[in-house]
Amino acid sequence: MKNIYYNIHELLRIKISSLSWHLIKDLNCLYSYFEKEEDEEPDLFVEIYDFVPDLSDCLSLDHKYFIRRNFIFLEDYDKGLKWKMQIEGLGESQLKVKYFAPRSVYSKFPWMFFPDLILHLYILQPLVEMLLFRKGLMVIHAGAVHRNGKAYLIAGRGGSHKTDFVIELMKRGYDYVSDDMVILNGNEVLSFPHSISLFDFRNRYLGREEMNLFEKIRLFMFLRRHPHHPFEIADHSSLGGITFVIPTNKQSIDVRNDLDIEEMLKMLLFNQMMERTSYVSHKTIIGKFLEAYRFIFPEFKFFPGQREWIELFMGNLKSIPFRVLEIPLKWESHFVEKLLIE
Amino acid sequence: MERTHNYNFHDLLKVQILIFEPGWFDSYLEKTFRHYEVGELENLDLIIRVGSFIPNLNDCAIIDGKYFVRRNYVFYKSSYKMAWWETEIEGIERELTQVRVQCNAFGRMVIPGETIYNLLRFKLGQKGYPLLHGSAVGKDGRAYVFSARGGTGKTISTLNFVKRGFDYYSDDSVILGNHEIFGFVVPFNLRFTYDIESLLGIQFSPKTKRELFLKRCISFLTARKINLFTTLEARQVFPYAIRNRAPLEKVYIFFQGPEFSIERNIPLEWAVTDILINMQFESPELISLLLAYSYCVPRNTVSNFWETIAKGVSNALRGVETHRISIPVSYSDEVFGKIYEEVTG
Repeated sequence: MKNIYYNIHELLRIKISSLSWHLIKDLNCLYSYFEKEEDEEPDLFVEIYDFVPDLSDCLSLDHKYFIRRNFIFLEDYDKGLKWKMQIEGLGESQLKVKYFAPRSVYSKFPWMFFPDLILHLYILQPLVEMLLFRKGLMVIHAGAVHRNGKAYLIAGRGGSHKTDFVIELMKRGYDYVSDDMVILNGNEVLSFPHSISLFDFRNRYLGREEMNLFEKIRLFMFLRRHPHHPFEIADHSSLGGITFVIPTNKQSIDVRNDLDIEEMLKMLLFNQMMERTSYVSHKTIIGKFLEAYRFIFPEFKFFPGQREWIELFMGNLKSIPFRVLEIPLKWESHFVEKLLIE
Repeated sequence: MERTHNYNFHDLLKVQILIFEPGWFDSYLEKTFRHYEVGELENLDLIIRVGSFIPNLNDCAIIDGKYFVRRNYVFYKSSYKMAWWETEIEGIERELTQVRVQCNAFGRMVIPGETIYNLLRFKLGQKGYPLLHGSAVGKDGRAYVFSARGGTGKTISTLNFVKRGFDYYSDDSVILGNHEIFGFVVPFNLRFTYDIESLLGIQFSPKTKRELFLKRCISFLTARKINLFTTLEARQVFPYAIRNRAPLEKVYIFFQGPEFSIERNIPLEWAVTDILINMQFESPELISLLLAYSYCVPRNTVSNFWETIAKGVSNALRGVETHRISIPVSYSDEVFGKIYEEVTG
């Protein structure tokens, strides 16, 4: 039995336990920044090996979700990969997850090599977000850079060049916070470097976000080596400003300042809800899962509605400057001058 | 030459569908809402044009490489198995929404169930009439609504009720009004899981029988990859039972459990949550569409759509008895007997 421990800023402890290193190796590099030697009682305990679920007294939904109080089991089929998982202790302090995906020759290209990637992207990531939310912290889908104790967020959907912005800003002397996700604790920004080796590779060898097939193979070789982090990561900083980046069909870059704070908070929520790895999204497996659980036990409420979200954030973010940047599809480095940074 | 179809849904929603370029599976599209077809219509709410077009995507924001958005305009592409279709929605916040859809032959089979249903749900919801996922039957002019996820036994219960002399309002979707419901009659999809002939005591025409047999063969030969559905219109089977609207008497929420059990008089918030979740499971495309639009155009009138729906449902259900029934996986006559007892008793 091999164990891996992650400790996210002393806020959340994760333990992943598997029969062999081989299965969790690809997972390891994604959270590698938070890896610890040995840790106390975890908040989230993940076991990766074959199991037989106990489905007695379960209610079912769509012949797919099996639910009873504090327990969910699901068997699903995605990208040619068949996998099953169960979550125990939804209402309790420790969450226990069991997951198993047998390797299959029928699965599509990257998934046949990384069956555990599904666990990370679609199960672990949303659950981490959910547990953090229970402790009053928000995971925000945004890149961020740091200077003089202040963090500047660059929020946007995939394809809005968040990584490009961060790489360009690092060249101009800013510190790295994260290129994909940050944790917001009131006014404080905590880094959440998510697959930091991937960013390291892009930053060091490519200097850009996009990759062609050849570079992807190079990346694969790079990831297999032991990850090392050559640059400084700013862990704690206070929020200095938020820029939303929206790619458009326009030829020129546009700055929009016409939004009020409530609309900005809504954008932040919608950005989160469209994210595939977020638990508030209806697209994710966990998102659907929780909805199915709520269908059976409607008294549960896992995530905030629009109004509650706005009320939660309003107090802390009222005085934070923000703007919306509409950029052309093609990346040019002078875009960073329009960002809301010092 | 285009073919024009006008549909009037209980004077709540007026829709025009124009079909350019006849395609293979047009009949699916034309059959779906035939029950509501009328001759001429004024004050339309929704115009849907099916046929090829070139979208004007200037100045559009691009979300996830899929949605192209600017104020009052959304264009997106979707696909499902062998079908693909592209939808352009103009005037999403206006009273008259104009939609253009282009798709391949298989797409014409899918768009009534995906795009058009979602648009109807959206327009009806905006007017304060939630389109709930559930079936409805009635007795003595009072309606009973059964809301459930697919595969729980909605349709089969409805058919059983109709056989015992109940009125038929719908077996898939119901429009909720103020303490009343409106029927939403669309053709049944004949699946292979139940035998509608013996259930209703009727005989299909030889043509339908032949069609069903052929499609079963196709399904079997392609290892259930291609499931062509056969549709059957309600008015071909029980024209005497179809009704349009009735005051709402009771609501039942079905879900699948280990054994038959009833939880009586659940709180209103629970019922609203259940019905809302059921609706959202049915229309992921609509959720994504509204999210993408609201993200690019935050100051709009559609971003609180689901809150509006929740309010509408809770208005319709206030003071109405709501029960939850757990239905065993193996649906039998015994189970139906218990439901029947519950409804009539």
